[in-house]
Amino acid sequence: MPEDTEVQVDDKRNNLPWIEKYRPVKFKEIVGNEDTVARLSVFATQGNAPNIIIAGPPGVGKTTTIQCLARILLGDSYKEAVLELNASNERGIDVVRNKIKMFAQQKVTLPRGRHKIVILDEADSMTEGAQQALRRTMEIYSSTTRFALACNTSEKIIEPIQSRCAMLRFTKLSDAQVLAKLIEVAKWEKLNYTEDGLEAIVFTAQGDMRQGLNNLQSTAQGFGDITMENVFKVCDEPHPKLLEDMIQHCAANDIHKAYKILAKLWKLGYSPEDIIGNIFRVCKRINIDEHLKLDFIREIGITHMKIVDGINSLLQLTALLAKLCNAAEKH
Amino acid sequence: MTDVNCLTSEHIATASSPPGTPPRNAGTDPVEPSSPFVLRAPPSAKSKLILQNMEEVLHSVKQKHREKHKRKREEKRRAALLAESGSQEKPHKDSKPDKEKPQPLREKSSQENGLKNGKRRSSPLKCSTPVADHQSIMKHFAKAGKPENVSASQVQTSASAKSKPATNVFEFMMNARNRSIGVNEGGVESPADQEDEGSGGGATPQTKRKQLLQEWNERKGGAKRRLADEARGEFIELQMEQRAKRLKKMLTKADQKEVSAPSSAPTEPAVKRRGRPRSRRLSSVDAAPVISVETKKPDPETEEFLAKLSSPTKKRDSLLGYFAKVESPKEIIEKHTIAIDTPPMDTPKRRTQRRKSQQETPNVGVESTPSGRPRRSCAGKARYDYDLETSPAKTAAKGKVQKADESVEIIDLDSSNPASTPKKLAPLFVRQLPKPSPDPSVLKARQAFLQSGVPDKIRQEQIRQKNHEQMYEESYEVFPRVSHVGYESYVADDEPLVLPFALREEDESTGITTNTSSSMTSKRRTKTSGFTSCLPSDFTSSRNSSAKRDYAILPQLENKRGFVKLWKNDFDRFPTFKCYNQMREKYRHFSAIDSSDDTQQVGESFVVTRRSRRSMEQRSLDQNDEEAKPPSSAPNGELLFTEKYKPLLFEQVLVNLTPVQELREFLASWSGSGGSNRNSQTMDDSTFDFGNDSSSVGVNSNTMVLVGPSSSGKTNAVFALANDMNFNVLEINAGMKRTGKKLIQELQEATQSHQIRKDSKAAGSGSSQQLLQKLQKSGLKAKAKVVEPPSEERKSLILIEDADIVFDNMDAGFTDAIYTLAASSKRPVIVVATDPNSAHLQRLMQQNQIHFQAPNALNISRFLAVLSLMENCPIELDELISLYLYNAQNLRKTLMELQFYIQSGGDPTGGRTAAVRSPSKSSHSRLATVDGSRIHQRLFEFFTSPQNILHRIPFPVDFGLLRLNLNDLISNSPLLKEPQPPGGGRNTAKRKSRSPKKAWLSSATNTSSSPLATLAAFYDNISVAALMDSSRDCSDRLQWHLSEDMAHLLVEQALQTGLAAKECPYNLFDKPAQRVTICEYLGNGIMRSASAKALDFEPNLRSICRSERERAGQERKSSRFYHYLRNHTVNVTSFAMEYFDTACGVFQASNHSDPPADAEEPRD
Repeated sequence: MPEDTEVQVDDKRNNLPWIEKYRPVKFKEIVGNEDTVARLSVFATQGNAPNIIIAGPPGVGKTTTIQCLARILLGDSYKEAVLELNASNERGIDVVRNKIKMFAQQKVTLPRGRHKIVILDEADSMTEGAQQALRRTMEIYSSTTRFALACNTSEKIIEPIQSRCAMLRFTKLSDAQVLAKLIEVAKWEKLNYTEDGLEAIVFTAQGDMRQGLNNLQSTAQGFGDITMENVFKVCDEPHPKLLEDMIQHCAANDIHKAYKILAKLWKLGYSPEDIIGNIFRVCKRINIDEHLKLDFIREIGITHMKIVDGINSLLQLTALLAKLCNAAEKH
Repeated sequence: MTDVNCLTSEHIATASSPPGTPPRNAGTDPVEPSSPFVLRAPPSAKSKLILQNMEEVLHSVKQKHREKHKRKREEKRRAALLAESGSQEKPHKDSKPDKEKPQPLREKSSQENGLKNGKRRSSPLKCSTPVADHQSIMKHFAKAGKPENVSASQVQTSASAKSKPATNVFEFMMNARNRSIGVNEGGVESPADQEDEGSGGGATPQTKRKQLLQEWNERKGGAKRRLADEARGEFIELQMEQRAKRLKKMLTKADQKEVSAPSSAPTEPAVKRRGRPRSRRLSSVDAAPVISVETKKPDPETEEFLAKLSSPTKKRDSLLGYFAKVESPKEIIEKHTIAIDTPPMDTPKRRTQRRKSQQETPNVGVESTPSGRPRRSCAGKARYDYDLETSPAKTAAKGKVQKADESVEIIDLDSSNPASTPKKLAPLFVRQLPKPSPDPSVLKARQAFLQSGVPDKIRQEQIRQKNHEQMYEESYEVFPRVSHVGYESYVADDEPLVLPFALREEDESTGITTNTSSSMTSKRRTKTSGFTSCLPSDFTSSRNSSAKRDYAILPQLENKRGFVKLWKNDFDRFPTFKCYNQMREKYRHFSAIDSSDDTQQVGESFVVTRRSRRSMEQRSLDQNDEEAKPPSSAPNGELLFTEKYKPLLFEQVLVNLTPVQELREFLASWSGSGGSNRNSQTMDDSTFDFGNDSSSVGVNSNTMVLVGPSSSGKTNAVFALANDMNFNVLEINAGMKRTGKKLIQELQEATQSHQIRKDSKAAGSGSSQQLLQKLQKSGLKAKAKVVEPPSEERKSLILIEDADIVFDNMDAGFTDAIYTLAASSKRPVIVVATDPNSAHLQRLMQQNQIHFQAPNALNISRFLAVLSLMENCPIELDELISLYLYNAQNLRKTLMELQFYIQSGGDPTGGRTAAVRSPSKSSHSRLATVDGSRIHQRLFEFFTSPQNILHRIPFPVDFGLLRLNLNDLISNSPLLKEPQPPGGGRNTAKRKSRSPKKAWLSSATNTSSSPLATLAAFYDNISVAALMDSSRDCSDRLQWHLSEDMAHLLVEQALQTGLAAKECPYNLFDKPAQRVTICEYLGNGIMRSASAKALDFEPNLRSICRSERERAGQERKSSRFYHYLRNHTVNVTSFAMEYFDTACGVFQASNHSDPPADAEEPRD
């Protein structure tokens, strides 16, 4: 949660995107993956953090966590004692052999138990060679320098590097977590919001905090009020309300009404991939009999496979509706 | 260049004779075509040779000129009869016949040009021009009048009368020529030109010429205009010539016998003359280029083209350049031949026949006969060479001359030359002048201007970066000294560690209680739309602060020894106490170091040196009770576990002993050969006797290759042994610039001498060296004289890390350097590699090789348990084993994660609530505890389970694992059990896998929702999920893969609702042995059928693999196909070479031990 001081400085950064404006500075403000974050906060006060790799999907706070850790761990000497390299920096073999190494050799006066930190953001975009050049450096200078890596896929970090780090896996945020942050931000921004509006944003965010905040900001700047209609005007997706109705019709074995909805969505020009994806996500949460839901999900999955294979006609989606109705009838 | 200069200047001189004298102007134009050209050649070429020639020729030329002039005067008189007026009126006269005949037009234009030139040209030239020139020019003019008249008359008068003499003359000429070799008129003329020029050039001083030239250049603009006009004229004239030729043919056919007086009709023969030489040239080799040019010209198309070109001067110039290129050599050669061959007898008749060359031919004749010939030829040759090489501009000019004297369009070329050619010739031909390098101050100013917009910050940044980079360049060394970080006291802001946001109870229990969740959903429906998992409570209270998870530093455990005693019984065949003692020493030592200030001395180090070992044991008894505690300022210490607890002596190596022993024997041979008996004295209590070993181990090879998976202790073994046996380690790793050259340079000293200076000891340090120094500094001060070994006895050892990694573009010659080292070094060289198949190391590997393997899980778990106990956080063995196996037996990673877990407070609650559970079937009993202190759990869970959304099954579904766990899962299902006796779950699974049908059919008929139906539905769901899952490529997790999501949800739902399983025990680490098939890595789409794989692809691939591996082992650079194959593992991420290597490994192993069929067996 941003502090009062930040609000005062607000006018200065009025034009910042909200994801930057409300980027957490302290561990307390980080949402999600609490277990790991709390453990990291221990290291932030006690020092001697091992090398870490944080892996996870985008928008879950990997970079933020690492920066928090570094900032709290190093305090005022952040500037001298942190080397941050992301994918926009050159990180070839040369850089690893010279820049990172020189940094590791530099002398920085730090309190006991603190180490210089090399932050390698998006480490999975580093070339294999650069990573290989890094491996022994990580060990030799471990008494003075620690590494913090953030990446999306841990598979792309070579094994020797992985073996020198503690691997922390972040996962998608839960809807409640995203929602909590959204409410916070909405309050700070003094937005008019409705609950279904926020829920719609949560729905579109899909566990990605960055996406959620971006959607919130664009809705707020585009329409002012955060209502479900406005949100779906901004984030143009097949409307989950409609899809929910459609699935309910299917569950009631009423294919005519269901097809009307589908035809309408199709006419609006949504791609079948979008439609099937949202059908799945709505179906996940829909309130029907669990066994029926299981059957539904299976059918949706099969249709999704077909669509991914390129058979993405209206016919396939209609067939899906028919199958769903058929499954509902059997129950 | 100079000669051209002088030529031009001469020409200028002739041209620039006082404007008042018209005859000179006229003379320049058509009558003496050649001279102006050469004269106006660009002032680029300077050849002394030519200058000399010209000077020699000069004198003779002057005389000849006089003779010539006399003749010309006669001709002039004759011409005067026909010509209407004198030189000044000529232009008017010329303008009339313009339309009819191109020639006059040309003349006119050229004359005009000449006039202009004359007017424009500066006065200094006048002074310089010799009188002779004036005269000659006068004559020229007179003569010039005559040909015009002739041409005019030619058209108007009847052809018959004039043609006869023409033919006669022509025949005569032919004969004369045939006697000699083919003679070119153009060539004849040019020497004459030169002579003319020479006469002028000799007189005028060079400086003046230069001035003149400059002035000309200034007038370039006028020249351009002139050029345009002249070009037009030129082509009209060309056409005229053609016409004349045709006419000539007709005439010769009609009246061959008629002979007319040479004086009356000279014109036609002249035309013929011009035609003939061309044909002759055709025959001669030299002439070819000229012909091409000539043939081009008459074409109407080219005419147009040239007309087009004529307007923009640039293009035309380039075109001229082209001509020049083509013609110049030929022209010169012609010149040469003519100089030799032209018989003087030609001259009288030629005079009559020719229009232009009348005057010149006699010149030539006279010139060449007495003295000039040999020289001329020489000069021609010399000039030829010179021209080609140095002064293209001049050759161009000559080419123009040549062309001009055939087509009689002289002047336009001339005028263009001085002005434009130097600049507009193709860059190839222009000699490059070195550009004056701009003044540095100017440069600076410019740069400053450019950067003036840049904000200061950025500029400073740049400067800083530059300095930084410079520093890199200067201060980089292969063995850098490790700088220590000094610590100052630091007051940590003690934030209360409160979990800001914890999972709701509901979230955690979703999996288990379906009823509540459904009730929740119904509740949820009331307020929100319900397509997300948000609850109304989430909206009301922005933060759920009920659940706090406090992580804090763990308190010191009091009775560690008690734990160890209890555990000792469980840990059979594990040196529990030894391990414990060692670790305690280390723990105490390091925490003491941590707690002490740098100035304060710590107690003696027991860990480091062998000498202190006995005393360590004594002391340890005394100090048994007092436990060192880490300092309050840094409770976690400042070392990684991997550094803290790594073995520093051979005795401390607890696991993976055999390879280390091998390595030790290898090193012992080297330390024994050092010649000091210190080792045997100090190590008398060790188990090995080094005196014997020194001779037994093969000393012939000084290289040892350590191969093994990462974190199997290769490097640590080297360092520990080096520390133990008093070696200095010179380490080369992939983090250094390791080109072969640099390597050899840096290691030369170390390899060629047996000992190393003391101060280089620090340079060769890895972290352990640094650690040692630190320890020695702090701990050994008190007893320095006793403990510290005499420094000059430390020997060096070369350790090459990551030798299997070679960056092609960065590490040139690295491999060769290794081999050179191995061949020449007098010190042991230890090469560490991960990849046993790396091609470039095969030769070394064949000599000496030690294999490391990942240590055994059971031993490691005990080791880790003791370690975690030392760190005040005893952890379940189960957890440790699981984590270790989950990390693919990577000890270092496990240690890292253990450190992360322990130092962040372990498991605060002690409860286990996870839905995903670590293996439940492990046979190990719980570790005993003392005093009710807790054994920590949830280590494994922390590193494996996702924290935001609790899944029953780890998120990306691993279907291999799922299949393994199916038994447990199915046995958990109440739906399947109901109709069966209690043990049935296990039965069903077994039967299902073998022949389930009959047994199940009977039972299925009984109940409506039979277990068979549920099971079938379950399998159906899972198979669909697997199908969905297989379509994704797992390499990129950046995008959220919907199919992945679907598959996971489907499996979970199938388990939860389909089987109604309350809890899903899930065994995460017990993976089956990976099936090795090469075809799996060759891309999916191509080979779908198993038989195709088994019959066609696999055997071939196998044999390729095998042979390539063998070849790679024998020769270093022949492993092409092997690498091709490696590159074609399409669907594997770029780093995953190991699959292929394992594939190769399988076949290799099968080669040695079993028939290959065995290796293939698991594939089916």
